[in-house]
Amino acid sequence: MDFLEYHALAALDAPNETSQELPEPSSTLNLSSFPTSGTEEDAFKLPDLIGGTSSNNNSNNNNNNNNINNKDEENRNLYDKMTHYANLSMKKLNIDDARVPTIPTIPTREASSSQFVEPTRAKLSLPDNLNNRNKPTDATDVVLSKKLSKVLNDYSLSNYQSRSQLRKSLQSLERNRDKLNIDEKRLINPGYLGILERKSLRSDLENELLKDHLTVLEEFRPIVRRINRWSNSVNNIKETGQQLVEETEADQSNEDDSVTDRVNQLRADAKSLELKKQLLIALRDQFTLNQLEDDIIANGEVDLEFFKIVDKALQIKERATYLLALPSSRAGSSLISQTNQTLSFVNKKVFNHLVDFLHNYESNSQLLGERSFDPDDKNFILFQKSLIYLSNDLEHFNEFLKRVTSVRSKSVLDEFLSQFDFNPKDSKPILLSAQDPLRYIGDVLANIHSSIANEADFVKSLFKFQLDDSAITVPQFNKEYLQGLDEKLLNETVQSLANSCRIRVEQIVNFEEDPVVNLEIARLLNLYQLMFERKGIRRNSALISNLHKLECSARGKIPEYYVKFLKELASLPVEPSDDLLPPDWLSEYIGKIVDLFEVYQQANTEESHKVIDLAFLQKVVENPIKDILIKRIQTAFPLAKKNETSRFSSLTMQINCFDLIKTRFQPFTTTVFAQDDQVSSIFQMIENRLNSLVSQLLELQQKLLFENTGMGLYYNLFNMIFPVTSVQDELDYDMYLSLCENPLMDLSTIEKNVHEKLNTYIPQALTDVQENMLFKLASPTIADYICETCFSTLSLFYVTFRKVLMHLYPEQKESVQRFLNFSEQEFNTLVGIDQGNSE
Amino acid sequence: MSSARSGKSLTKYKIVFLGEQGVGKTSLITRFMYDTFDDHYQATIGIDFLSKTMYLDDKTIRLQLWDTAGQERFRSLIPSYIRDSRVAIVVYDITKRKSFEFIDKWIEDVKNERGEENVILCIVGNKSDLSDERQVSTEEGETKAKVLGAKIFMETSTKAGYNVKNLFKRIAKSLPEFQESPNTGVKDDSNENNAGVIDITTNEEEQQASSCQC
Repeated sequence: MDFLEYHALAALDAPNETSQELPEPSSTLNLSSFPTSGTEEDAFKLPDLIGGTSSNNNSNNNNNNNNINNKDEENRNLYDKMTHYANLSMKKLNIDDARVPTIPTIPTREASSSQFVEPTRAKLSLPDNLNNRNKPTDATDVVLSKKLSKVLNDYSLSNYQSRSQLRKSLQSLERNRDKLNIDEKRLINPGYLGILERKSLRSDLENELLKDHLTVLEEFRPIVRRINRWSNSVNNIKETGQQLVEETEADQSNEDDSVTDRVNQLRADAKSLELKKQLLIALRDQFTLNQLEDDIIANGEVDLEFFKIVDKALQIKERATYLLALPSSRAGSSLISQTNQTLSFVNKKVFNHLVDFLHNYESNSQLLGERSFDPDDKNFILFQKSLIYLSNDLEHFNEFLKRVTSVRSKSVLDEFLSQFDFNPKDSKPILLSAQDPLRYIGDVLANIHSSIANEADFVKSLFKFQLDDSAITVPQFNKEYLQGLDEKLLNETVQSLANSCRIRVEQIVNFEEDPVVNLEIARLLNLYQLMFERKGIRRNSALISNLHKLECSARGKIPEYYVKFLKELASLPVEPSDDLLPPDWLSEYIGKIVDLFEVYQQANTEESHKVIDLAFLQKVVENPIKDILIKRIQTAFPLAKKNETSRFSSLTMQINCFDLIKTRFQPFTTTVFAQDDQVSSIFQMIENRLNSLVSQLLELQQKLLFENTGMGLYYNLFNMIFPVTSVQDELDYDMYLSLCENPLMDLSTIEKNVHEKLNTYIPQALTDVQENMLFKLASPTIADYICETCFSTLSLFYVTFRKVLMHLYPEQKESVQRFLNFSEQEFNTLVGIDQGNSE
Repeated sequence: MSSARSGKSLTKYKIVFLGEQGVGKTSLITRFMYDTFDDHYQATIGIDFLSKTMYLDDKTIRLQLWDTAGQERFRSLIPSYIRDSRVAIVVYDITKRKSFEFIDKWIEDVKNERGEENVILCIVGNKSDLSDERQVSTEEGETKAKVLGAKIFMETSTKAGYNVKNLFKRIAKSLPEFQESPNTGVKDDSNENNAGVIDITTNEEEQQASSCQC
């Protein structure tokens, strides 16, 4: 709110009674801090400053004192003027009794106080102006203004710091208004009461201040007292110290550093003790389990937390081993013994946990079907962790594995045996059929194969460790027990099937005589050994060993059959049949061998070589031929050496037998007989033998033929001088010139020996040889060969003989032509030789 | 606690693979197991098995795959394995008619061992990637499957990885484990065997899979 300057108001014209206009202020004067007095009259009246001033005769209003009388009238007018304008102002503000409180309005005051206005010169100069110009004012106001002005002036002269201090003081006063019980009304009372109030305020403030100071001092009292109490001790220490220093200084020259050393020693001892303490605490942490951990081990469940404590116990044990290196190993050994006790307990607990898990798994598998675990299954991880831990204690570890094996073996065996029970609800049981023993063995082995597959699934799901997996830490030395644990368990579990399997297969193998079936059984058993091995079953396991034994047994029975067969021949008669064909036993025997070879040929594999090898072939093929067949034929033809007919029959029968053997074995020359040189030599022997027999028969046949024609004598004679087959041309005929001296070569003798026989036999020679002599040869090829070769030789000799005779006796050609009456062409035609061939 | 400790239930099914030599039985299994294909042919010796756990429709089953040798000398072993198999997959080579003609004999063997009802028969024409050399049409295969009463017929290519997963998915879905309401399964099968009804769902699946795998 702006106010009109006092002197400016004086310069205004006197207002009319009707004038409602207020003069405009020319400068600002903030009087908001002045409360309106509740004791003021309704009509605003200016305090009689002039009167007050005149009566009090204030020395500060020096400027106005000289003009008091002269300007009295003027001031009165001014007073009236101000009264008038004040009333107008009041009216304009609509201030009435109801709205203007008697006590200065607190909000206004609060507003002013909260919004502290820094004292300005304009404000501060107000009391001066008032003192100077408003004489008719109340004396007390003057005194108050004076005091206030004095105070304010004093501060206004000081610096900003002082002013801010004042401001702070006033603010503090304002804040603590309620606490100090400031009665503002009385405080600003200009009267004596006001003075008293202000004085009492001051004294109150001073008291408060003093009280505060006293409180602070009181707080210091115990400290002071304590300091006083210690002062003597401190002084003593000080004095003693001083004394010590002095003494030390005094004795420095005389005494050594024993005290200092001692102090140092003591300090070192203290430090050492401190370290010892720390060390012992550390040792306690490193070498002992706390109560909670002990309790978890004793009573807690086996879980991951449990294993953390177990790991700690293991670490303690490991650390305890270091203690054994100490001069006295008692601590180490006793600690190890104690930890071992704990670990032994843990082992038993883990073992029980694992056994519990296993039985639980088994019972649930039986009730609810097969179980499976996810790799991240908590229980599964715990199981594997337990097992890994238990691998530290081999005794319990192996015991657990035994339990697993035992439980699983039983289950596997039950499952295996159930396949043989007849249950109409289930699939067909495995039944032994007399017609198909191989199928029975196949079913048994397939069933075992299936059990292995199922068991492999089971052990892999629980006992296959990913040892490289960082999730599970396995001590290096335990890896050897855990690596391949699944395979180990699989092997041990399926061993329970070994005996049951053996018994079932054995009952077939023992009674099966057929070498072909035995070969197939042996092969089947061998194949299953291979397949089982491929699935991780060890070669030396009971299951595979049994299969191997059975395979050997089946294999061994193959030659046994043949041996038995040959043994039984002893009881058979050796008499040959009339047709000189191979004996029935030979056909049967060779037929059985061929059946075997055929089966062998289907799978010419390594395991077959084991069955049909050199020894087998020697035993079954070579030796029987050499020792039995030939002997039996020799026995059948005892006169073969003496009697040509008997010999002829013997040779025919032998050729028939060998031809049969050779023909039947021929398809196997590239398989059975191609294993190695020794084996192939057996077939070679058969071939050679046959060829030899054929040659022998050919020779005999030739001999008989020449004898029958009467040319036998001359044929031998000619060949003795020069082989007839080597004669090339007429020049070679001279080779036989020497024969002329031989009386047998006399033409009449020749005629006598040859002519009749030749003419009698040659026309029927072919028929005789083909239909009588060689008729019993089973092989037409061999018969043809012998026949052709014989007649070719005969023809060649006849022609050569005739020509040589004509050459030797050129003058008796006609005679020669007479008794050797067949021309070459005629002779060849009669003996059935193709002309082209003969030439 | 105890049930939690012993894992979750798992049903095991035996599947036997049959067919002539070189039709791709082993490669079908290898593709399914390891998603690989080996160009180098190696004849199977005897019988081999592999196990695979399959997760389908929130259920877990274990398939035990029995791979048989196609060679004649191992034929006598096979009936023993058909004896307890739940599924028989007869594989032929679409580029070799002879292998297709032998299906009848294989199916007969299966029926002799398992009867008509106790086995899920599947006929698979493999090597569908060799379309230039095709000797057996898809229609012929389908017809034969219907005639022989095979529940599933499919052409696959183990080399290209075509339809292999689908085959096993279909096999799995036809197993009792996935036949909670028997009517559904029968309906599906009857649909498949019914010439008038086309199973669009399956075809879509196949097409999707084929487009994806090719």
